[in-house]
Amino acid sequence: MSAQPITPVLQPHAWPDGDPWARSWQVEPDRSSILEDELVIHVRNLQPRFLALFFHRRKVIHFATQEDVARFSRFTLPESLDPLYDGRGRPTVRT
Amino acid sequence: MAARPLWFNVRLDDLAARVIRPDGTWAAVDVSMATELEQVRTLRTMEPAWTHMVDLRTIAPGDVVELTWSYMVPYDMNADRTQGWRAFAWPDNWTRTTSWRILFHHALPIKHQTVRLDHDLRHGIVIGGTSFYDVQEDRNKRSIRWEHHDLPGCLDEVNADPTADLPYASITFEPDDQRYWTFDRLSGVPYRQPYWLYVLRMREQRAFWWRRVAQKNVPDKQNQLFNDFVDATIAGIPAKDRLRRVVTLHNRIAEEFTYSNDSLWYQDRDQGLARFGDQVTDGRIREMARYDLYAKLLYAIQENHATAYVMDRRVGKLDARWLTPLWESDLLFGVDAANGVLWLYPKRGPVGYWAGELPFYWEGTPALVMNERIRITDAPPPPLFVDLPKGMKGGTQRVIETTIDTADAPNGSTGTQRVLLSGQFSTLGRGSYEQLPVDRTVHPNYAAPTVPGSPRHVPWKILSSSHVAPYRVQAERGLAEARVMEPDLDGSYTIDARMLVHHAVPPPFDPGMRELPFYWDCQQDDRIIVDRHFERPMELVGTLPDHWVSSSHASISQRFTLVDPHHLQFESRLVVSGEREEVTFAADVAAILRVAAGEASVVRLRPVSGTP
Repeated sequence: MSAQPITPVLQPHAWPDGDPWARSWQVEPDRSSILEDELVIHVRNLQPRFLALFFHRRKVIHFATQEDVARFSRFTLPESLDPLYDGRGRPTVRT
Repeated sequence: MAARPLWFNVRLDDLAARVIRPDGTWAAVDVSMATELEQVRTLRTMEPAWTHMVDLRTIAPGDVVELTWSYMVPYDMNADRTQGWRAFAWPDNWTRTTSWRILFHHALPIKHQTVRLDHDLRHGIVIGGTSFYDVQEDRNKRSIRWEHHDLPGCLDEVNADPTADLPYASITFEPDDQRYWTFDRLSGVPYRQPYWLYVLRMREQRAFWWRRVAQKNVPDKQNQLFNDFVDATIAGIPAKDRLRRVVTLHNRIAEEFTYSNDSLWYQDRDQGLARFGDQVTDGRIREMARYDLYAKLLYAIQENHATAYVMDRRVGKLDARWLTPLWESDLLFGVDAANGVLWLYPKRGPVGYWAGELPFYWEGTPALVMNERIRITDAPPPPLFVDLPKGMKGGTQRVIETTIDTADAPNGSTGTQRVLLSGQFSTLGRGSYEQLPVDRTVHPNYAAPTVPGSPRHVPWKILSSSHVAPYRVQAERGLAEARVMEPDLDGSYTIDARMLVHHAVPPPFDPGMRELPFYWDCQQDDRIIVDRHFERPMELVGTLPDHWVSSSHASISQRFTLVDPHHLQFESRLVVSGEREEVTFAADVAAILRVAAGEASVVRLRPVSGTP
């Protein structure tokens, strides 16, 4: 049953102060990678009517090639944490 | 379309992206967003689940982008009103969050990753899987933390099995929800049943009713029609030959019935009842009543049975810590057979499986068992699994023989094509020889080959089809307009093996990038023979390709043979004797796939000089 508004109402994001670049990151110029990936899942409340799962994710991605830009700059939210199960029954599971 | 979890009523709270630079400066990234609705079929309804499609614009190669997002997934928006029977009219995420997994890897390598799950002990969260984690507890609060460094980017590798070869976490989530409480039948004492038992009891709640209906002495009209169907189908088979009666009934449904996906019923536009008598009289099996129809059918012939809930082995393996939400799981019916259990799959598509027949992705996998005892017991048992049988060894074979009468004819040639299928090639492909669609989750080359070099479809004639393992099928057809030679400007002809091969394997991959073992679908022997006859005598330009490549569990031989100036033969044979290929054999597997795709074989011929 649809109860939530489909179109999200997003507030402007407040980035934290300070240097966003971590000195430990090593970028390979010809290879894309995820430098930092942080996922926090917080299950809040106890009664079913109030119970909810809150997902917060932060990623730092280095895009090395145009091909990777085209492939990974588009994604879906909520994201799949289990692409094998979420993609079951769809064509080309493996091929 | 990317895989998505299809949760309901997700609220996106935050989304932002910026390009960051080593000098500490940053610039905002333009983010565009669209929303897609997808209808999810639940136990009794269709529900919309929306997904936000995010596109980071203004990104260029070399950019380092920091992304952050937050969203909320409610457990049950309608909890106040849906604790009883109405739960299934308004299902929410309580049906989808009970058992899930986190796969830590991605298609890109991950340098550093932390995943944290904060919850209350009263949420009934149990962690499984194959990953190490750190736990911190403070009274009822628990924080579970996974940390990884240098994860390879391998989640998108073809024919890999990430859950068998990579760490992952599974999460069972059973909060204190009134719907999971039930009452002991004798004492009336309430007790809590695990979610999986609740789901299966809901799905099979009418089993006892069907048993009683089967024993009615004065049947109503629908039961009379149903009984007439059963009696007509098993007429002449003595009651003591119970397995033959089961097989006959099932195979008739598999072969003759049509399948209805009941989309109108799930959308609440068709509010009719199942009407089993009408279903079997019309030769129809309905999605909303697949379980009920089979339960009723088996009880009608006094056959006790169990059910087994299956999982595609390419997705993962069921265990006590990961059972999936189960609402959408497919099921088999099992009846006692002399040498084990005979499994029956109620038809769910245009092609039915014969009694005992399973596609490769269920063979040998653990399935969750539900039987009469578990259905009624007051002491909830742990989940019980059974290993489904494996296919007959050496049973999966296919031979495709093509004869082209005059391959050098300018407007295409006539010819013939014959196939022999058995095992998985029959299970997954035989429908295509009757112009029925094949299972869309498997490689399309399990289906019938096309006419070489022509888009035209020529129907097949099924010569024989067996419903006994290994389910052999023979078919043939005449060809027209087949083109297997490309004329070159200098008067010679090129024959490319890519036009001739039809092996059901993925395209070759870069072995240098491979991180995970490769899994063949199943053991098989797949042979393709193409005989080309020429009107004019031909001679060879260059050499004839001849390949033989092998890995630890597979080999392929592929060769062209100029039998005589009027006859060129092509043969490609792929033999797979095991399923798992270790990473050390990645280069060999890639070479096999390259040959199987026909990438390595091209032949040039020219008419013998002096011929017109």
